[in-house]
Amino acid sequence: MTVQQVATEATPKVLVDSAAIRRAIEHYFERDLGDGLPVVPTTESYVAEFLSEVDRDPDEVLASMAHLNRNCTVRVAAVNAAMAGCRPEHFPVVVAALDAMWLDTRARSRSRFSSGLWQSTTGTVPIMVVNGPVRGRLGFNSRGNIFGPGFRANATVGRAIRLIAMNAFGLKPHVLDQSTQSNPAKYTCCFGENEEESPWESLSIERGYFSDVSTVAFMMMRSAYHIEARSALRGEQVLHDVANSISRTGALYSETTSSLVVLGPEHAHLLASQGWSKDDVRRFIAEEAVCTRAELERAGKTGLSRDMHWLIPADHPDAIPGAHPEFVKGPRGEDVHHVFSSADHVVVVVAGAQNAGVSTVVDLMGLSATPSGRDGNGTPSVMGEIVLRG
Amino acid sequence: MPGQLEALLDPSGLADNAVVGALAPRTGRLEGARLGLLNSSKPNSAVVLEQVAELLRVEYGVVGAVMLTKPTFAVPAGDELVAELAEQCDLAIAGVGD
Repeated sequence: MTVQQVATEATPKVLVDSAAIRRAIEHYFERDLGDGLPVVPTTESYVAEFLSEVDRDPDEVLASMAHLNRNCTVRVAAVNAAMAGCRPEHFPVVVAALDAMWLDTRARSRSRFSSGLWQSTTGTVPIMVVNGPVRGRLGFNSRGNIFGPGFRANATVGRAIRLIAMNAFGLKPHVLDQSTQSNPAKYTCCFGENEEESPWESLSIERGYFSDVSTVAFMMMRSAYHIEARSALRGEQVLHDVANSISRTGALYSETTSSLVVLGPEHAHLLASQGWSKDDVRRFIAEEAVCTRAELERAGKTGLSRDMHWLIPADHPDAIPGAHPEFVKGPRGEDVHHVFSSADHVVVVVAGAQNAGVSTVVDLMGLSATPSGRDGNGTPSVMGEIVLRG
Repeated sequence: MPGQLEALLDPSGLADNAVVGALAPRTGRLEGARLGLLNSSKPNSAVVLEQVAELLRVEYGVVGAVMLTKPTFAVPAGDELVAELAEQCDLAIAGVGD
């Protein structure tokens, strides 16, 4: 008997009206309501199941984009979560992510980065990290392939946020979403922290939550890249790879930056076994992520633009005459620029499989001006608490 | 057994009047209208807006061109700036340079 025959015999026949299913899916495509992939056709009775999973008024506004004249209620969020393929029990995570997103957006509107980030040419996208018992209960993947496909909770919760952006806020590409290129995470980007295989306290514990509370951390991401250090013998070696990758000139746009470092469990254990705490890791990366004046000069990034202080050529017409990013003397006497102004701007989580010395760095965009930043300048991640009913 | 037929839902929220506010009434004419320019503060924004203003003056007869500049391009124009534009102009054009 072939594998195919076994599978066929084990699966009961499901009879459907194929034309009706296709008609429902095409209904959304014809109205440009989606992300380019088929959505789950969604009706009132199904949305009611989502709404019954949260203790929130369906008419409550979860997030608002005043300059677009659009907002998103709990009910509209539920419609989009259902269309994204979430199960009703995933909806509290979507709501928590929107709570965090809204905190972030409001905080940023008082700082130099705002809800405009959702429409930016940079193409910034939300990235969400789930902590706590909800990961096991709802099936969030935190081990192998965290940025890849195969896990409904990861895939659909992230996708729900994108569908809300596109449908509820009308952020369609070529129109209100002006991303020049963006990145593939814009479809969906949500994963669990691998708390079980981490030697350190989780992100949510670090931010003051109890271990029985589940949270979702919300950040705005520019790009993610692979750190290949599977043969490293010492923690410093891994962290030098990380710091060097973060400080490449192409990643630098402003006087300072912020990053999410997603350490694979092997790297985290290598570091922990040699006495490194998470704070040590953050401080080392913030100290070592430097760019020399010569490197910045070659890349045309030693000037500061008038309004935003972005790194531009010193002879650019918009450059402030004589202004430049801060330089200090490096270990070899050369001028170096620190890309982080504070170790708090480095967020560290542990995720992925314990099968190779591989990590990922996620370049973030700006900071939220929330009070949780120890330097008073905000933090790159904002937390939302996940409240499950029953 | 098939379930009851139900309507597919609209995910935009627009049908529920989930809007924040109303748009200003359109002027309907350009001749003699006072033009306002909202500069995003990005490099080249002012250059583009001044060119557009010149075309509107020459070809459509708008008058003046008050240019106000946002403190930074990344945040929406504040209430005071919008009120100032509304007071000084009949129509306004927002521009983003880069």
